[in-house]
Amino acid sequence: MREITVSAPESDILLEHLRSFVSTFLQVVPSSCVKFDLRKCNRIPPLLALPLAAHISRTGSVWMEPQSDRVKGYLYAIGFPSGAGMGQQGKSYFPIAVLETYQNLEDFEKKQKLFLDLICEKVPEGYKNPVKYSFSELTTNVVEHSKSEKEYLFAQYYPKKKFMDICILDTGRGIAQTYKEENKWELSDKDAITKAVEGYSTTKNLEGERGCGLRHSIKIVCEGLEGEFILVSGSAILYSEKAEKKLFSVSNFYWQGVVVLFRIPTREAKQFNLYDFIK
Amino acid sequence: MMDTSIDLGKLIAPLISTRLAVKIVEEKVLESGCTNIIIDFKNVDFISRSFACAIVKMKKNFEEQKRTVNFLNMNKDVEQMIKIAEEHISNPPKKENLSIIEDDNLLKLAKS
Repeated sequence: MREITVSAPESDILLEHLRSFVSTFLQVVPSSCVKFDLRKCNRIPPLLALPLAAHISRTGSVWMEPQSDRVKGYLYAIGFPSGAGMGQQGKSYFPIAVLETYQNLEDFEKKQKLFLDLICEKVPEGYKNPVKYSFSELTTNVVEHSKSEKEYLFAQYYPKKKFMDICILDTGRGIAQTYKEENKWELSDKDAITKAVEGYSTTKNLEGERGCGLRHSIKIVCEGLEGEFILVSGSAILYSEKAEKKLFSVSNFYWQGVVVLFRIPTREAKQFNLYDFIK
Repeated sequence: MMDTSIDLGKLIAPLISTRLAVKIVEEKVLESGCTNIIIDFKNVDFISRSFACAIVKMKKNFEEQKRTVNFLNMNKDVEQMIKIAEEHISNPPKKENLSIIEDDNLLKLAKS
């Protein structure tokens, strides 16, 4: 079994987290069973923990525990890799949740609500609706477009640094394949992300009504809340913040499905009207 | 004329995200065979725009079949989302050409 060394990010900079995720999965053939070496990791943020958890659960891969007792304890607490219960009030982490997308829809909606309630506890009052909006639209995409059997959720609140990372992931068909199957569009991963972000729906006869969820969520997080947003599908990655959006294509890297991570500041800075952003 | 009232929060959840959840409501309505339908939002805190669009379209479809559908007890947020869904259905938002910088140096960028 191939051994993959996981190098953890050295700081809280989100691009550093992205680098760790990409460097780790550059070494991984999608769907292959590998051994992740976490021994040297002194932190495992959501953008690393959740893809690792999903890959391990999906492929039966294994991992070598971190040497640090603190990090080992953290992984246990968040239910790495197969998920834990729906979390407890008062904790700064919201354990990994794995939701079945093809089973009971009422159950799926209720579990999402529980997860979101815990997140909203840590969010300033004026930011609750924007977070609810973005979370609900992004998770809807998993159920309606990904054809993934599972949706993975994980969030971490950083009380001293006053921000929260929320990660939503699937291992489904990915954005480019969705356009190919639904619209007969042949697009590269980069072009597919661009189309999705511009609001082109994969359900042609419902154009207009559809296709806004992702676009609005990025706008709300980056322009409204002044946070950051990452979207990964296939070999393409979008990194967005208030000032700019950057689209990367990384050769030899491939994520089967979609990974979304958004970072929101939890220090309320200004009045925010959600509806100004989605009109 | 028979009435049926559907408590959406109890039937589905207090926060409803997915468009597909409307299928559950439709089934309930068809099962009842009623012509006057009340969709009661009293136990709903928030709905996604996607669900709002789907339930507004469901209302329209039932009304075309000579049924009446009324939304009741919506809080401010739900009401606003329903309003936006109605606007988006009748006047779809325009696509946006976003300014995206292409960069193939992710690993280098993160290191710097």
